[in-house]
Amino acid sequence: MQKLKSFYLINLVRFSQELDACMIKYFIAFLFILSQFSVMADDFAKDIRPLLERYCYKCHDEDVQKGDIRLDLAMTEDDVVKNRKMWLRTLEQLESEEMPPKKPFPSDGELGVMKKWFDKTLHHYDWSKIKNPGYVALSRLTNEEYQNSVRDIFGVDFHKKANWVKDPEGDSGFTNDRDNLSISINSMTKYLKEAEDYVDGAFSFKEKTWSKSIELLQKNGKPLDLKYETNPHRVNMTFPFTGLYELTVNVASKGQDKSGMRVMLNGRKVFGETIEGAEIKSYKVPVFARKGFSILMLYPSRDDAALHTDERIKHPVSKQILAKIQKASKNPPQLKVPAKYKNNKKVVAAFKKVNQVAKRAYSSKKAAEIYMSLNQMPDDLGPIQGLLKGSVPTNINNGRLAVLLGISTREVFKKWSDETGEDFGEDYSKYRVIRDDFKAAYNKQHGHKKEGMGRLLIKSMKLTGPFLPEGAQNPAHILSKNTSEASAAKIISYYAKKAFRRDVTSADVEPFMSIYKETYSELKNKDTALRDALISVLISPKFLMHSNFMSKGTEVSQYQLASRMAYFLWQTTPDKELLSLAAKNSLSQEKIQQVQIQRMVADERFLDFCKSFTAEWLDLNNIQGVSPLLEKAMLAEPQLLLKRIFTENRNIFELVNADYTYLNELLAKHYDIAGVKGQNMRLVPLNTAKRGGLLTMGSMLSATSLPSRTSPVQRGSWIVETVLGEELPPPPDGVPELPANAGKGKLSLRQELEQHRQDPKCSGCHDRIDPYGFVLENYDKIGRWRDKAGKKKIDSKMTLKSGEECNDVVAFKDHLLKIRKGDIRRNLVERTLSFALGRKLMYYDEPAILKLIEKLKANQDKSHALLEGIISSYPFEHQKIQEEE
Amino acid sequence: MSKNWLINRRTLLKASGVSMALPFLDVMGLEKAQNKAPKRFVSMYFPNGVYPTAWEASGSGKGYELKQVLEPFNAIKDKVTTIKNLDHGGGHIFNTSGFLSGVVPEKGTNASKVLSKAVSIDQIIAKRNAQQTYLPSLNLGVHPPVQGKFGGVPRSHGNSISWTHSGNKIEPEIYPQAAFDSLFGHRNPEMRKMSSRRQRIIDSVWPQAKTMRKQVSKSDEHKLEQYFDSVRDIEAKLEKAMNPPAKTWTPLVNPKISRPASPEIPANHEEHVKLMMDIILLGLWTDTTRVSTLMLGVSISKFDYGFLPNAGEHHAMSHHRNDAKKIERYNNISKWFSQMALYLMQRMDAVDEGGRSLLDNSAILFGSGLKDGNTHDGEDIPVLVAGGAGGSIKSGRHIVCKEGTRYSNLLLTLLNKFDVNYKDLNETGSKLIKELA
Repeated sequence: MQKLKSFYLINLVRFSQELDACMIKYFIAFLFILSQFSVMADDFAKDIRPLLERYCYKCHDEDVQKGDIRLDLAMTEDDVVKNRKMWLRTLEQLESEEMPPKKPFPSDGELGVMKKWFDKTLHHYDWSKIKNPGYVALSRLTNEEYQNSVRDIFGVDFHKKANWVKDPEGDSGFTNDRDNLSISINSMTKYLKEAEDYVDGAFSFKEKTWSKSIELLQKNGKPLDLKYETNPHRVNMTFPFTGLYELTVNVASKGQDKSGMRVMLNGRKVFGETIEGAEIKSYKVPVFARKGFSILMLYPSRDDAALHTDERIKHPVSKQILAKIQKASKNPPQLKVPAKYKNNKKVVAAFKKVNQVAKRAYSSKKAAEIYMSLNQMPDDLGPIQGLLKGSVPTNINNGRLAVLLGISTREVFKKWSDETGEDFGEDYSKYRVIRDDFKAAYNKQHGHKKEGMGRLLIKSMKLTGPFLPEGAQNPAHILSKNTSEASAAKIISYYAKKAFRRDVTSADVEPFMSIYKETYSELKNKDTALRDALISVLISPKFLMHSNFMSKGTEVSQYQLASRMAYFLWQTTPDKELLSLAAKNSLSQEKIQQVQIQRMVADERFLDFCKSFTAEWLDLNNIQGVSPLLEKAMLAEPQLLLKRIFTENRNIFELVNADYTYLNELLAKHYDIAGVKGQNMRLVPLNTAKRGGLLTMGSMLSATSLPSRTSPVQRGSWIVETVLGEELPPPPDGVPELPANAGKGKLSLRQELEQHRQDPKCSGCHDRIDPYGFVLENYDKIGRWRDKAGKKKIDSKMTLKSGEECNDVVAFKDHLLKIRKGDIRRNLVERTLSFALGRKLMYYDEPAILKLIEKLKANQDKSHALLEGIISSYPFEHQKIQEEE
Repeated sequence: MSKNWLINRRTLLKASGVSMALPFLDVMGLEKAQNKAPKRFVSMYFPNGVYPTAWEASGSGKGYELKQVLEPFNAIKDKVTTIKNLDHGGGHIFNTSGFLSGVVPEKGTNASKVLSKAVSIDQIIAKRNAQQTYLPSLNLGVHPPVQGKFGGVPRSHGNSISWTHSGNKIEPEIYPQAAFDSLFGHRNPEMRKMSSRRQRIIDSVWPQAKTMRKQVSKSDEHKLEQYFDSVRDIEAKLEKAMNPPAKTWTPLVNPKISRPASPEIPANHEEHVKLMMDIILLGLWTDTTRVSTLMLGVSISKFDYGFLPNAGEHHAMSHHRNDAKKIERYNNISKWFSQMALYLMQRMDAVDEGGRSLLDNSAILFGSGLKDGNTHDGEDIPVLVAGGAGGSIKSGRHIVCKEGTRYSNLLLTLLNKFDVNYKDLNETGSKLIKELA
């Protein structure tokens, strides 16, 4: 059996001052369970408890609960097993002799007795005694599951994303945690609206093709020429029906190779693409629209242009420079109100405004001059943003002032320069020079050119509907069979079967048929009647909620199993093949499961699993400081890695180190890898171990950084928690933080951190976390490789408490794969199983986990072993109907 | 009362300009209206507490003084009541979930279970008024919900201060347009036309309910009931859209009602907050709802208030560790919350409801469930009540309760002002605050 050495934090108990409430919560829950067992004096009660009482209860009983740990609740061996995680930590404390920290100390003999007993109970427990599949709460579909399911019910991706509030993440760390998915009181309002849209969309395929072309020409007959993001072109549009349309835009980039284009429909983005080349080309995109009046807006958008931009992060201007700027901008030129206007409120107010703007412009100008003199680019453009944009906005206000004074703008400018000796608004070229010099200086400093964005030349656009995307089934084939009540019943059954994920009975269909009949008798329209009936299928609890009611037994029904498999690997409803296997009662057969898993991971829907699982497991929400398109590429990279590992049955440890990765042009440039052209992500073989695997991905490296610098602590904790699966306590109160600008002074960031954690209160945890961060210091705050931070050479050497050393990230990956292989494997097993079950794992899942680990080992850690093992595992194929009290 | 506020429909539509063409039938069906302005309840919550000494109030009557974070409220000083020495607790997450229920799950208990029995007072008041208005309560927020865990507790518990009688957490709506539609969408003639068909569609759920209730296990019952609650919720809305409830109050002047143009959230945060407040104002003014909550942030909000001159990331600033600079930034953020709250209060105060303003007819509970964000103290939490609850609260005072007074006492007392006479709120051992007469 696997020995869980160094699996839990050594100093957790002593330094954790925050409540691990979950632990305690379950602990209490176990107390209740206790009452159900007959309490017999077992070895624990006889031999161990008295020792704990003597040496541990002083701090860890009901009254003190130091570190929020209570050891006095366990009465029997069963209690210890049920709170295994806490007792594992306790054993570690005993083994490392961290606890008890003060006298009285147990004798060697006593210590030996305790260690032996806990080791036996925790590591060599006879798990065959425990058979508990765990209770999975009844829950609604997640937003993701809902959208995918509707797509597969109708066979058409309507490209529709509801503005729904995000699902919360549950105790398992995943949003599919069934326990935590509640149905909010206003949900039905939202579900109804969505269902109406979808069903109307499906019916729209019965409509005749409608098309509308719009020429977008200027008065002179040339194509529409758009330059400013802030000044969109607006097109009013009346859609003839609710459904899916195809938008075609004929457009080119002007002035530069690339431009970005965005189209908004009623304020929501429907199109965002990079436009390449000066020739007019057609770009197509599916758009879901509701019947009636809509507003389309088109504009150039940098966020949608795949430009290699200067990936910078805003952070405060350095104090010294700020002081300089403040000093230099102390006496901004101010216009005096001419005496004859002294009592004219409007004029006085206008002068005040102009002077305010001038003050800002003056300060910007001084800032610009100071940066120029220092020959550096500010990280934060705040004070000189106006100048960089080339717009000192004084002219507007001067213009307004001129109107009030009844003189020309030119005269106001003249008056200004006469009176103050400063030119504002008059001589733009001067600012443009400053701005361009800035750009040049910056590009020189960073060694690459910032790509400019072109203007948009839009010739025309066209909307066509209904639009059936390639590969989609046409719902009209089914809906047009609606010729009689009997055929309507068939159609309803057809869709209800897909929606309810099982065969339906006439009792199931009855409520929908009665809607059909009532509506038909009232409105005398078969399609309207069918429409309303189908909407009611989509708001049925049998669709919106997972199918917990199918089986009363411990074994889940075949249909439930089909659903569990489909929502696990596809995030959607089971397809025809899975359902028919379930109907034939053969879905529990090992061979059939294997074939199905292979089919499912090869299906494009498997990417949906990779997306949800990776995003939530790896917790990459916090990427900042990169352009939206680069962020998108960064997020796709780990998803595609995972997809390949699972689809091609590869070794799971490629997650840590792989000699390939997925890149597009933007990300490749970011990583300084040549030869990748275009914006689609593709497999790229790597000839350096500086990349490859999760630890060296831009996504993880930037998500764990601060806006101003890298954070070895956050990177280290990410590895410890996310990859190695350990739990870290929050830092104790009253610990000073490292400043945001750490590492910018005499000491390097690493040196400052090392100094910082000398405090024994901190070093316990940080000795285990920080080294993992140091070894990644060669990656900057957005994941680019660097040899120096500022002028200081990076020291990426890592020394672990155990004395082991790694010189760089390449050696570090080897180290992990050698020393921590077991932990990484176990962590992946736990996370995947937890996601598959839709619940947090409990002590009784241990046998399933151990079995999965063995299965992986026996199969050279090939990924399919994991999926096959999970789907055939006891908790996956079984259920507990009642929650344990 | 003079009847010159009776306007015909044409004038009204003209006055509302570009706004939605709404059938104002219910607004104008006022011959039956008794026209006694109702009481309204609003709560505005902000997370992460305040710097303890910056929430400074003293004296009463003319000597009533509001300083620092409270300074903005001097503008409506005589309409504000501050209350000292109310203890709440619950740390980051549970101070939020219990802000309107007073319930703070104890360490070691099953929090989800405890919270499922902790109804918030906005929902109690909403239920009382459910028959009189279209929407029982309007629950809004300005931050997307957060996820993950904090100290072993799901952070999602801290996403809402509103919990229904059946233990259903109400996720605040953060999209202005959706919030607007939840108030006025039903007035759209197209929507009305659909209502009877929608009722029929919704009705199909009940025959299914019967068999499902039998199939589902005991542990799962409450989840299924949540589903049925949301069915009942839409039923009530459809019913009221078809047959508007008899008006007991018609505003003296009708506001201009225009739908937010974009379905997205405004980029400017302050604009977002004010837009949500404008929507609340419209809801209360037109008596479309009588209860509203606004979360100015979710629990442990890490929102960056960089748009304020000297502020920063909220949670980080709240852990000021007595650093003067951080305290200043922390205070600036806190003060901004006050300014925002004041915005809504002043707008409500500008609505005349016949001698009393809308604010006078309301009770607005504003504050946070934590005291010092640095230590997560729950003693003497920063709360105030604005408005007179229809003449039942004498405002312009600073009430000093005995040290260690339960915060739920205030919630119980507020319920009392809305004629809900509970002996105790959610078994928290609460008692009425006599001084808040």
